[in-house]
Amino acid sequence: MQNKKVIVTIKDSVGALPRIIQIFARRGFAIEEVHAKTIGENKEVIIIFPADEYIQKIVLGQLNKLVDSIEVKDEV
Amino acid sequence: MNGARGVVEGLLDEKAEVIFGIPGGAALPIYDEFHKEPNLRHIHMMHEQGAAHAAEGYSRVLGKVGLCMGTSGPGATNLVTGIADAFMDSVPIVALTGQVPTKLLGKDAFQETDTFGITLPITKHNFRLSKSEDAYQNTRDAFNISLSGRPGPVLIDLPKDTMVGEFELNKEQFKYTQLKALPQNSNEVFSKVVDLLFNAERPMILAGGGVTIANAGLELTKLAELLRCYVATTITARGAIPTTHPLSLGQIGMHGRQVVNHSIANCDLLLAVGTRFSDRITGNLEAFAPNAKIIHIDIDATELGKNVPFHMGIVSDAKTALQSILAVAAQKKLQGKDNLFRQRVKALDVECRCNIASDDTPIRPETIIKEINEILPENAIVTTEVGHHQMFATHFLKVKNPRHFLTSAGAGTMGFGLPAAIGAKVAAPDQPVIDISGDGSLIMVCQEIATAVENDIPLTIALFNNGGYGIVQQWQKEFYEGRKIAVEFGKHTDFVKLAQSMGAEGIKVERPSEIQEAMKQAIMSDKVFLVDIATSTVDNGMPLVPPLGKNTEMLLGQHCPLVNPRYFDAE
Repeated sequence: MQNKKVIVTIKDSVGALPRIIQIFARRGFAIEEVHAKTIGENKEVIIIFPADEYIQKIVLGQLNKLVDSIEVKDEV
Repeated sequence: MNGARGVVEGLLDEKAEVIFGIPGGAALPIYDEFHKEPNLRHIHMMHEQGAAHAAEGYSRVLGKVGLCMGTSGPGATNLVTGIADAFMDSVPIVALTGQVPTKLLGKDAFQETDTFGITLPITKHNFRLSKSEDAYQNTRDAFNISLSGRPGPVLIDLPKDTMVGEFELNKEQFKYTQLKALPQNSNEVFSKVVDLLFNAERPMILAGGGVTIANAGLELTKLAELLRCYVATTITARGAIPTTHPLSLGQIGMHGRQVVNHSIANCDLLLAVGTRFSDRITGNLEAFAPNAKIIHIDIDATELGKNVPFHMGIVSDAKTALQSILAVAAQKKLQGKDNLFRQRVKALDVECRCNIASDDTPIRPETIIKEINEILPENAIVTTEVGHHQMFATHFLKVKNPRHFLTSAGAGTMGFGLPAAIGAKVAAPDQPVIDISGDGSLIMVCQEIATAVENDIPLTIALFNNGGYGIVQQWQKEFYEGRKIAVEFGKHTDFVKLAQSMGAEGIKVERPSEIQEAMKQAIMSDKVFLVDIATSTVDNGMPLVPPLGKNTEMLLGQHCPLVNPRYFDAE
């Protein structure tokens, strides 16, 4: 599977990163790389993960569904 | 004020009236505030799992947030099953948990558990309070998040130091943290839906729990009538359209009615509203509605295409969508269509009705439901546990109103019914509440009989006592060559005595002819009353689609008529 990259901006509160990671963990989806940095009151998290169309759709949908996520951008 | 008061102020401003819970060390600052608050009724449960299910029962009846609370550590982990249950069935509850002081987090302090981490995957959202100042805001946000969009459980973990810490509350500055808005759908979208519905030769409607949650039962029924279209329901939509309505076909899926599964398999258009197409609904996906265009309406965008591909996917709550479809449909004229499909479904529906009356002893479970149907007050709320009795109730019980049949659907939590009945009775004190129960489930939560008695919450437990796990036995018979293990027990357990020991009343019933009298006596007594019904161990009492099998290839129960879908083959 090809690597996909997604950039999530999420409110920086207790458990911001675990919220993102558990979306992958629960479904057994792999993660290649995670980079996170704090920007003001938010965290910008870049995730690179192998995905087909279905996995990408699920991941993007679930990231958008997080109550604290502010923006989800996907880049191939 | 202190953080604990901030939480309670938040609860009161959210119009919370009842909380189900159990105190403990880390929860004491909050409990001390409950003590000062006569407008917030605290119902002391006997186990935290019961508290979470009671909050669910309360919420499922009223559509309001149900509240529960436990202390840190085991108090919180005991809540987990109920929280997970609420998550699976999209029930808005708010759970409060005590927690050790912030500086002890990670020190393996007494009764410390990572409640936040444990509940992360089973809540819609969760908080751990990091400072007293957030107490009011987080509490009110929790309610808002829980109820908005697709409802779900929200947990707030409350470290003890944040509860005793002082802060100044300024309510005038309060506003909810903004949540994402639902997309708006244009009229063209619904116009297209109506065109598809009007042009379909063989349309079917599948209603899920979303219809119940959105209080869209009336709209569903109106649309069915307008289209003269049969409605199949999932377990959480039981009562969304009255089960006695001529267009209500009944339960779909693994333990569904044969007519429903055959009709869905043969429809050319499926309007699915508020359902997530779980495996228990679809069976083998390739054989699920293989010839149908599927219009999938759900409030949660991630549900569209998750399990079943759709022809049209619409993100909307069920009520708005159904109202919009009705509004467009009212302007268009439904052509007089050949309704051969409807006639065929109707014929199959008649063929599919089995005779559930019987004099057999021990009593057949379907016969118990038949007898209960005869005396069930119109406004009664029925809860169930999980297992055979639940499937028989879902199959045969007459439910005329939404939010009157409360059952643990997605999670399948044994022990849901009794505490949920307590919550339901608190929510609707003027309505009779009946827990249709099995012995395996009841013994998991039987301590809540004491809760009901001690808090003067009258309810009836109709116990389908077959001395074991009926549905597990059925699976062992069908799929493990009848090798029974760990499914028969309770020969020496006297449930009537158990109930009596906690101050409830009880009666044993051994013949079908005695059921109605016993149930009437229990309901009229206005007490906590257990009716212990000697129930037969039916190994195969129900149609069963083997896991991931085709819905049209059901193993039939010993009393099921063999329904022949030849009508459809004529196509």
